[in-house]
Amino acid sequence: MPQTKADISIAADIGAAAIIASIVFFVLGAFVIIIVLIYRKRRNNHLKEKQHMQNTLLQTRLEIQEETFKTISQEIHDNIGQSLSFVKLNLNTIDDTSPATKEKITESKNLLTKTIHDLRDIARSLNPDFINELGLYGAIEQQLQLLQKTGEYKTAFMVTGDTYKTDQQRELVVFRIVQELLNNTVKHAAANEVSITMDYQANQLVITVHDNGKGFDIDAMQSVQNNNGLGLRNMLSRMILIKGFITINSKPMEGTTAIIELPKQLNL
Amino acid sequence: MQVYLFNYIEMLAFVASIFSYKRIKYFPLKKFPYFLSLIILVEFTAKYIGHKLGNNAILYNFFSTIEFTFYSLLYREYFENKRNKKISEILIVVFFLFFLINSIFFQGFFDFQNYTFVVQSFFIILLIFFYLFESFESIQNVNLFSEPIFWISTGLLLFHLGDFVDNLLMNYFLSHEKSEATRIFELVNNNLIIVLYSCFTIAFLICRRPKQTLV
Repeated sequence: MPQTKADISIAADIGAAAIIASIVFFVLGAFVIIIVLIYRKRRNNHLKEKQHMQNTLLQTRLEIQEETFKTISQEIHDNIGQSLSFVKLNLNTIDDTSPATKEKITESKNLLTKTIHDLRDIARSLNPDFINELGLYGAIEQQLQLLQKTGEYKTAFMVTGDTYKTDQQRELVVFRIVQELLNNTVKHAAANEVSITMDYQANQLVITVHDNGKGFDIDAMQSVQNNNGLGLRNMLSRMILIKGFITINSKPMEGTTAIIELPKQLNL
Repeated sequence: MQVYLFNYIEMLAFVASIFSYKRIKYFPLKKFPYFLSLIILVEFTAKYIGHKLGNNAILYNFFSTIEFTFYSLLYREYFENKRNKKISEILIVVFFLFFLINSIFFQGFFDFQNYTFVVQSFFIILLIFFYLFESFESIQNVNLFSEPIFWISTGLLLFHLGDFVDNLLMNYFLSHEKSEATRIFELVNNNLIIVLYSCFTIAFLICRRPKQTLV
């Protein structure tokens, strides 16, 4: 307790100093927060620019890829396909009646017919105009039919809701991702059942690709060090580029389900 | 029993946390409604004890350990850096030890332990700086204004920086002029509490459900 007026006066002075010091510290805190906000805003702008550059790069890469596919498709159709048809024609004109030769020629002709068909299918699926001709669901259904034709897979395809078209570029990206998913199933899943559901909702198209294969550990695959996860990350980058999203659910021995969400309108 | 403006702001923060529970339940913030209800309970119990017995310091002294543990664990959940997570755990242990040593050997359980509160403020400021540093470094595009933990941190930082000096000089005031000490403490502390819980209220209200981010 203060004994004298001087003590009270000192206490009051120190009190005022304490209040000022508290205010100074408070302002200091506010200053720190403002600095953080300014720095973060600059960093966000930098990240946005970087993201924009990456998107442009990705878009260019996709365009080049589609151009390359188109060229390969035309080459297959115009050159290799034509040559094989010519070989088939030649085989038809061979006039050899010995049974052994005849059997070999028939076998070769069958093989050639199958090869020409397969090549046509490949050429069509590589050609970006394919989507325009068949529509996205037609093109996806055709991919599933190709899988069915191998005889190793039981496939199911279902479309729900009223179908609609979004812009071709985005449909092409989705189609390539579905192709990649099916390709992954063939290469890694050891599955015997594959199903695709296309749900045309009012605001978005949801495509679900499911297989009953051996699945995989999604966390391990997603780790930055895992190069095998690069394909998954690329798919996500491409979907984000077209303002969509992809979710992949998988567990070892429980199959894999990929859900692609594509908004109907492209709201940039 | 007098109810101050800061008591109403505390209750407002509690109501906001309940109101926003559907959204905050996806984040570590989900524990806030329980914590805020405890704070309100402590405040009113302290008022009652203060009114009946005069000295309610023991309640605040013990509550400081719960409060610090809560904030440390909250930041531990938000930290991405493992070293920061570890530091937040160590700080809990250090704070408990400090509280015990201070209670047994220095300031006692029944007197207001300003040193405990100084250490608490210092540790919380440290945790906030770790959080701010992590948000500096983040490679994600983050709008801090829409991050609830940013508002929580802003409130805590402003409160503890302002309260730091107040608590540090508390012994000096008490030894000279108790009524002056109480007046200054209330003036600074009560206003800072208003800032703290206003920031908490904003944090709960701006909280949005998380977006899908994983493949």
